[in-house]
Amino acid sequence: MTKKLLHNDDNWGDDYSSPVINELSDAIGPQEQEQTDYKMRLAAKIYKAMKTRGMTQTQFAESMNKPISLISRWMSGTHNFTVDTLVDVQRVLGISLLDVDTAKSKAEVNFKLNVSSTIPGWTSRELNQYINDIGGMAVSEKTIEFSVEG
Amino acid sequence: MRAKLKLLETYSGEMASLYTVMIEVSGGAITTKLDQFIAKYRDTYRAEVMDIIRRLKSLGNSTGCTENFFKLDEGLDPNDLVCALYDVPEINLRLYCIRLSDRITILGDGGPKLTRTWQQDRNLEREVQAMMDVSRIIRTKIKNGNLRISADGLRLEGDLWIIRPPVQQKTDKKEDDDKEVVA
Repeated sequence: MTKKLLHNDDNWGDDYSSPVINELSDAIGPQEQEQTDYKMRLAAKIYKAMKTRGMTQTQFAESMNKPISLISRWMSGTHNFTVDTLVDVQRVLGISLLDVDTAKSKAEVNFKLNVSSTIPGWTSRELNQYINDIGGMAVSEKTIEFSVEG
Repeated sequence: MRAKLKLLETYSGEMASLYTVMIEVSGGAITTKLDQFIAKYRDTYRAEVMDIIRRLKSLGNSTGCTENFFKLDEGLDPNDLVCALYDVPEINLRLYCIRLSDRITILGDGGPKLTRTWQQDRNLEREVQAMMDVSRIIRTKIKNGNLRISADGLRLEGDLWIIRPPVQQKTDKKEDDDKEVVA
């Protein structure tokens, strides 16, 4: 009689989806999330610039003439910066956090480009059948950023 | 009692993956450490819990889990990587985590920090201890090669169990098997 050790429920919980997490996540509006994302990205940018310059939080705090506890809060992504503070941070770290240059304005345009073609001798029905046979057509969207001078 | 790492798809994105610890509770039901945290504080700390959830989404989709977003070295051993998501000073609702890298963090439970140190609060002490235990198990698995970080740095692969279910002994003869189970 041979004995085998088996773990026969390795998929335990794989399909678990938390109702409480989903419920609260769904309650967050896109505008609220955008505000949080922006604060977090701002904090990440300041932190990265500080590291790139080889500064510790203590050194950065001294340069800003602020307590280190406040600097930690700035880096945490929970802080609502004033413009005055951001201007000071820009000066100390040599980075751009506020883009107020009106000489160049960036525009973002979302568009869809439709490309069509005809194949001589094919009816539209034959073309549709061919597209279905090859698994459909890929559709992609791309955002192009450009600058307008003046 | 079983416990296993669980990927939180709701919060994970192209910048980071957030996991939590899924656990078996009475009657075989499943919950997670993060579920327990939210359930405990969603009414009394509604605004703070919602803020935490928004920040978790940002970590996964916008910024990654860089160390500036956390209070580091919350565990007793610096190598345990136990930390806390930065808590707003006036509120101090603390969510304990294990920050494995800029791209992977494991979320636990926590609570309001009303004492100077977490050791002075029984609830916080329990939750920090739980994360230190999880950290020890994970680091052992990584060291042994049973748990790996994927090539893109975004996933944990391999043995995700923290506490495995009881091992069943199976014999070639079903009758013998049944006897052993009864015994």
